[in-house]
Amino acid sequence: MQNKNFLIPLFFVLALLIITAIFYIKCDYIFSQLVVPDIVEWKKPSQKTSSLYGNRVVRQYFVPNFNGLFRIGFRTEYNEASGAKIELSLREGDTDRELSREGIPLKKFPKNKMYRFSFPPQWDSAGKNYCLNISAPQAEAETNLKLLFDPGPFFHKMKGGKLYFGDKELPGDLSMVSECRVRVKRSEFFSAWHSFLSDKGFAVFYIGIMIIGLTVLIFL
Amino acid sequence: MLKDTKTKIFFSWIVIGLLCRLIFMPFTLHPDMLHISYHPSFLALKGVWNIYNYHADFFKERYCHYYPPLTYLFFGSYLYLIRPFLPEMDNFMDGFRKVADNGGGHSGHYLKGLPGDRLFRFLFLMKLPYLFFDLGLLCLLVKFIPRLYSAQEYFGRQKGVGWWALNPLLIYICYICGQFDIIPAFFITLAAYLAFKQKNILAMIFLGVGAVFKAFPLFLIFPFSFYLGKDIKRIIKYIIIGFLPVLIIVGPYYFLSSGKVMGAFFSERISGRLGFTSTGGIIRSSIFILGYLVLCLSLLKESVRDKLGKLWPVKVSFFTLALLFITLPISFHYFLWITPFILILGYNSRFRIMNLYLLVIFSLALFTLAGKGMWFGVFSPIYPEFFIGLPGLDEIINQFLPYVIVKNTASLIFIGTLAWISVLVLKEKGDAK
Repeated sequence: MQNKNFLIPLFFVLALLIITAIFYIKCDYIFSQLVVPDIVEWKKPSQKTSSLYGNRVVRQYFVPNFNGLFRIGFRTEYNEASGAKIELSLREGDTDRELSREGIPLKKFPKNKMYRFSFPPQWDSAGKNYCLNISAPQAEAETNLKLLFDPGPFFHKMKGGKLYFGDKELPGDLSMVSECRVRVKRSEFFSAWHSFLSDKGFAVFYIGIMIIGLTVLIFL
Repeated sequence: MLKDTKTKIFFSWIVIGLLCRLIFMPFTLHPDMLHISYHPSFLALKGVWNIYNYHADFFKERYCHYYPPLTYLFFGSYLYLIRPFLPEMDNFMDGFRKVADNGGGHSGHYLKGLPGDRLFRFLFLMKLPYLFFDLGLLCLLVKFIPRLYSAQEYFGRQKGVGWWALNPLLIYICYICGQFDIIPAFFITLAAYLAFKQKNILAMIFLGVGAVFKAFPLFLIFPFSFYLGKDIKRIIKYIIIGFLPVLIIVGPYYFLSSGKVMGAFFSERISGRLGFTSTGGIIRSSIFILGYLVLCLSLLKESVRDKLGKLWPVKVSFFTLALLFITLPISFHYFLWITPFILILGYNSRFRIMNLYLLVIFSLALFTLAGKGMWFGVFSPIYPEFFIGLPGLDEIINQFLPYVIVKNTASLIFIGTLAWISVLVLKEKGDAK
């Protein structure tokens, strides 16, 4: 093993070990930045649009599958860019308590793309009812924001999904995606290890051949 | 303990290569691997010999979109042999079918359908056959390379084996994704070796055998026949010999399945993939056909044959496959077909090919492996929620600049670099006749 031919692979092995060590020590921090889409957007051909201006308000209720809800994306279109602002707020569905609010100029919305509304992570969001409020009080009828929604019933609805346009309930959900940050505990990674060890025959065989391989490598 | 340093280095590389492969085998998954093993499980579990008919009756499809019959028979027999080691095989296959019926998706979706018990064993066993063909390929290269180069150009078998041991393309395709392209790649390399040893009939037969695993070696039958044949009678003879394994193995299936087996060679899906359905695709295909004709006919010329020299089977295979990849759409795993030939051509440092090879792989990965299921997602058997949650290459790149720009640039770099390697190979004098 003293030959310089092995310096490069040795470097890779060492790098892998260092990464694994960092991963082990810091994993709670590193992996709390993950994004897990809760539900993907609907297929476009089935979508309808609804314009938002004046005192029109859209409320989308939904229940995330995961903890750590931190962002909601929804698909938008608009006719013309103007200085009008869109008001977004996230509320608790059951108590109507406001959790986060944002005002964004209409021209910052992408055309026929997802706009992502970020807010502080809700670490216990799984199974809770949330409401996304969208309104455009300053917008005029001809410079409105269009929201795309799926009229159903052919596709799944968002879990716990209810869509209101003013007081009227629409048959479907916004074309949207909710995203969660995952906090991964070291112990959760060990479940794979336990699953590996539960198949004792294979675990012994696999670890055995790896040890034999390494031994041969050292003694060659 | 080995005393000779060169031998020590050679065997150390082999052990490193094996360990690198073994590390990934049980812990990675790509849905293609499940597709490859699902259909043959009908042979192993239910004794279905003719999957093409069965597929049409069972799934009500006109063609069976599975690979040619030898792939079916090979994997079916292999699954039958490993049944005692994996009694839950039918649960795995049922799980795959249920997820596939619900629209499939990435490996995270499939893992929800697969039983958790013995998952790692299942993944390991599904990839195990590739290890034998991989080692077989290494043995072929070790036997082949010293015969191709003169004493001054041959630096020992330890040189170049590192490229095999740590080859990212080989490891990713076979042991991470579980694609079986190593099998036809082994057969075409064997055919090239036999052609070099002037065992022409065997060489053509093995090209045909490769084609009954995956159809692409059919493209090599004509250039090989033109080189070996020299006159029209012998060219036809070699073409017939090349197609003989295809006729022998596919023929009975053709009659038994009323032609449904042809879905493995020609189907709407394949023609769509090759681009025959669009104008751009037709133009590209026309360029390929024209280039292919020029290649075949030029092989009849004595001056061209002189230029190719001893390395002719390697160079002819390389040019044919390079032409295919430059003109037609390519998937990452297809590039494994050409890799043994690049390893042979790159052995001699004069070619300076291996650095370009790395650039080719890198650019190819950039434009063919965008989705999250192709990157961290392959490690989802370890922790599905976490690894599928990690962003794909396209998502990461999109944070800085539009992925489509990177994709198109990488695609141009791929074509340019492969063309550059072709020019380097063409310029090389092919010494030592």
